[in-house]
Amino acid sequence: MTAYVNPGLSSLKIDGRRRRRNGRSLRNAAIVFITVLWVLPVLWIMATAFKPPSEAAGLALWFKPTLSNLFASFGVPYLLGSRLLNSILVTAGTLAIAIPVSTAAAYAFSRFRFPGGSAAPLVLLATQFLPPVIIVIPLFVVFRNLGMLDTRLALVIANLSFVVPYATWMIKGFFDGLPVDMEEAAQIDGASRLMALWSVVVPVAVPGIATAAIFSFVVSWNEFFYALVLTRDHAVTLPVALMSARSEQGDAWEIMATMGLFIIAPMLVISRFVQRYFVAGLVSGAVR
Amino acid sequence: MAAVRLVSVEKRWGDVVGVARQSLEIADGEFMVFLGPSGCGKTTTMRMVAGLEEPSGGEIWIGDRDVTDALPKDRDVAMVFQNYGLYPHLTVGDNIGYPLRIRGHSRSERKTQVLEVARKVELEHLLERRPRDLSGGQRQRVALARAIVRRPQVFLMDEPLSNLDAKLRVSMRAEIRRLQAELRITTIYVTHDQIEAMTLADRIVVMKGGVIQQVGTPAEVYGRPANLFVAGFVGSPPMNLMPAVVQEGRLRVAGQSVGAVPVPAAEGVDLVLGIRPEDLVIVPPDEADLRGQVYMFELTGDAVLVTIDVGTSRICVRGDRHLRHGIGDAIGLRLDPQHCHFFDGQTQKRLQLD
Amino acid sequence: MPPARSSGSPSAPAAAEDEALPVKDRYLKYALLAPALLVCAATLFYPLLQSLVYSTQDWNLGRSPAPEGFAGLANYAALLRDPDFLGSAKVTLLFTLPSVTLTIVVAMAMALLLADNGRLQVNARTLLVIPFAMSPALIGISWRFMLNPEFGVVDAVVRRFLPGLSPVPILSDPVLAMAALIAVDVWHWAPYFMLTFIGALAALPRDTVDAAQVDGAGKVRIFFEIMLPQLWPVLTIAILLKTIFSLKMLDQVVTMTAGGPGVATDTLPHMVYTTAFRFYDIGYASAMAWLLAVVMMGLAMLYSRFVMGSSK
Repeated sequence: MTAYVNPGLSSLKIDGRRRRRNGRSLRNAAIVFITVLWVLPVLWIMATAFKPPSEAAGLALWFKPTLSNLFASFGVPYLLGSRLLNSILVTAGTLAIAIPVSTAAAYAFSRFRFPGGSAAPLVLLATQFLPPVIIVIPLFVVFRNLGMLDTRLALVIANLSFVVPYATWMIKGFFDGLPVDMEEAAQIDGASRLMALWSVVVPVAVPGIATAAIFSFVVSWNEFFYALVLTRDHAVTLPVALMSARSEQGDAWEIMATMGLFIIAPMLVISRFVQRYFVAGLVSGAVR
Repeated sequence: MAAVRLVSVEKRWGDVVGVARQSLEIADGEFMVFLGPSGCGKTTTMRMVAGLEEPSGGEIWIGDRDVTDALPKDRDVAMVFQNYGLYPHLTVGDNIGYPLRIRGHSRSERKTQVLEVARKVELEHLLERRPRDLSGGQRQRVALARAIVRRPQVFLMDEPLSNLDAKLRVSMRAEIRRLQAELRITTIYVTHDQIEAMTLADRIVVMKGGVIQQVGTPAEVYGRPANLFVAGFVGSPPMNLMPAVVQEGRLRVAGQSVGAVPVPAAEGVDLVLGIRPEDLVIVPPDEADLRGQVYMFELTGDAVLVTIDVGTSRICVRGDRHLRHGIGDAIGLRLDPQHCHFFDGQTQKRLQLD
Repeated sequence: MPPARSSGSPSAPAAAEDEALPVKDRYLKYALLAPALLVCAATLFYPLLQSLVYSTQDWNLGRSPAPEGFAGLANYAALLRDPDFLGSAKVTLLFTLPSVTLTIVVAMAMALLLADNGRLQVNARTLLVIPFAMSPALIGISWRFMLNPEFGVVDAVVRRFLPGLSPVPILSDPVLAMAALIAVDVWHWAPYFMLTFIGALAALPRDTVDAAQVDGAGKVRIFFEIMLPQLWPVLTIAILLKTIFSLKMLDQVVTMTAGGPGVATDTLPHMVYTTAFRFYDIGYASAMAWLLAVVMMGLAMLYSRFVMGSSK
């Protein structure tokens, strides 16, 4: 073996290093490009909310931001304030009922055996695969007969139809991962099963319940279809309010953008949690 | 077949040094073992030779080529992984033949070569199976076969035997050695098991914290450890290490005066005396160089291991398997000056005495 | 850690457990389940059953507040002969196939790009999830705005750079409207599947990729010959899931295209909606909904079999 270095092969040296460096910067550029491409529409909508109506259509990146759209939206005929309130109440109502109910059922499914065995949890999951159109018709008929159309309660009931099964499934999965030791220790120490559940299990289960709560929040807040069918004036929620910005004169885009801002705002606030909990909670299942 | 040279190679991540800047030469056809505890940098060094990690500095040469920035596929090396790295969706035959397929060999060529190599590792009857149907030892042989089939210039092996059970490890060890001797391919073998290192290596590189502690043949590393770390790491049970100092012209070990051993250093210098369990002889206390009490007594079948409290030190002696002593018995030890290793208490380095 | 108990082990039936539990706990067991069962029964099972009943009836809400007569399977038979229904089925397929394919491909590409955990990648991932958390209705309206030939930003961009092509009538052209629907759907869903794939890529044994590199394979080859075959189970599940979601999709159709132009984007869910709430033909719409549900349930069963199968 000689120590002579073949000059042709030493170009191997430069190639490898340069190829890797270029690859890395190309990759980073691609990441930035894709992120911008994905997020730009959202930014555009948010910006439009602050543009004066005359400029809403333009490509201008610089504009004088105005709050006039905000004021207009809260007024007649858009009534953003009342729509916002409806969304808040419906979502809060859904969560207030769904979380305790689902947690209890999830615990029962996890710690006890029921007739039907392992089929039951799968049925819970399967409910997410139903097209919402199928149950909206009977709901509409029943609410109509009961005079409950256009009420917030009707919306809460409709939301529960898909939130409760899926939240139960999610929380059950979480309980399955918790060892029974703690509860058994508490029971040996003298607690009844119910007391053990409340004092020992629930505090530890907070992450799993939080996951389900965030999921329930996101889907309730964004829910559109049931609200579209079941409401008309009083109980209209934010997503449906978007449609009301249409008129014969044309669509009031800047009003829609303002409403969109309110719809999206909670998502941005909890965005860090959304990625961790909402998306993670969907790993094995479905979402509306 | 080629020599491997690491010239001032280092690897750091920010402030963390994975491999300190150092150089190493591995001769053509040599079986070089990198030995050390987890995190000592041995795997990182090997991955740099493979091209799976980029060195932060320095050069890597394989034969007469500077491969520092070359991609793995251009280096003509083959690697055997700890978890075998087999392709689960391919049959054993396709696994072994994969490197050939990439290089454009025809199907018939591949078949012949794969069969030949499979025979070498005694797998010719398993070529149609999938990796998941094989035992650990069989999977390891598939990985070996895949590495051999290309006749690379360098073999790299990353703790290939650590996932096998003890008995299998012994037989696979022999097989690897035999293959390497037959094929004469330069081999870099990484392990934390010092018995593997001792039995397989032409030379051993002992590493700790990214720094090479010693490079030498198994005999050198075992018989003349360069510092306290190597002394304590190689050998099982490990070498006994006792504090020593020269006082009033005589050597004092663990508080006891030892006349039989010549004075190795100046008065008052902190020393460590190292002596292997098999180099101590159990004698009656009045004939002994060191006196102590039996702390523990273990029968290993081929010998007894007696743990003895000498002063503040606790040392281990390997004795004849018929020996019996009770716990707490007074006992004596004789040292052979030829087998005493002295280390500087501050620098931890070996004192050169001859 | 001892394995946690999960329900449904076939070994001991529920009745046997009931006997083994103290009385108080037996009540607790059913008491905990009761509220959820009640809610599901009222909001889900009962409406489902009712819907099935409606589908066998002749009923137009505009004509009468109650069902007008038993029709048996006549609705179903009529559906299968109805050219509008078949057309809508075709439209649904026309939407589903491309949206599933493109979503999966784009998601995989994004996953490969964003798999590392560098600061850039992690931040990008957080931002990319935002479209996914948006209300689909808002997405539909927003894109309807942006694609508007007079006011939309898309047309403004075209006007600036390719003035000859403007105005671009996307939503009034049947083909372009469908393309827009698909594109928006991909935009909405790709980030979610990207995260799933990133998880799957991280779980791939590193050794197989390293071994392939040392064996001599280039990046492209490694992806198609080594990584993809190992990702196949995850991909199958993702494809099934996305198919179900695509079949179910409705909000964007209502807000962005209203099924148009004409019937170019009138997917099955949308047709059920218009049949029930514009034409008030409850019986017919219910039958349609059940046909769609049966197909989706079939896919759901496939999905659950795959998920059960691939968990070891």
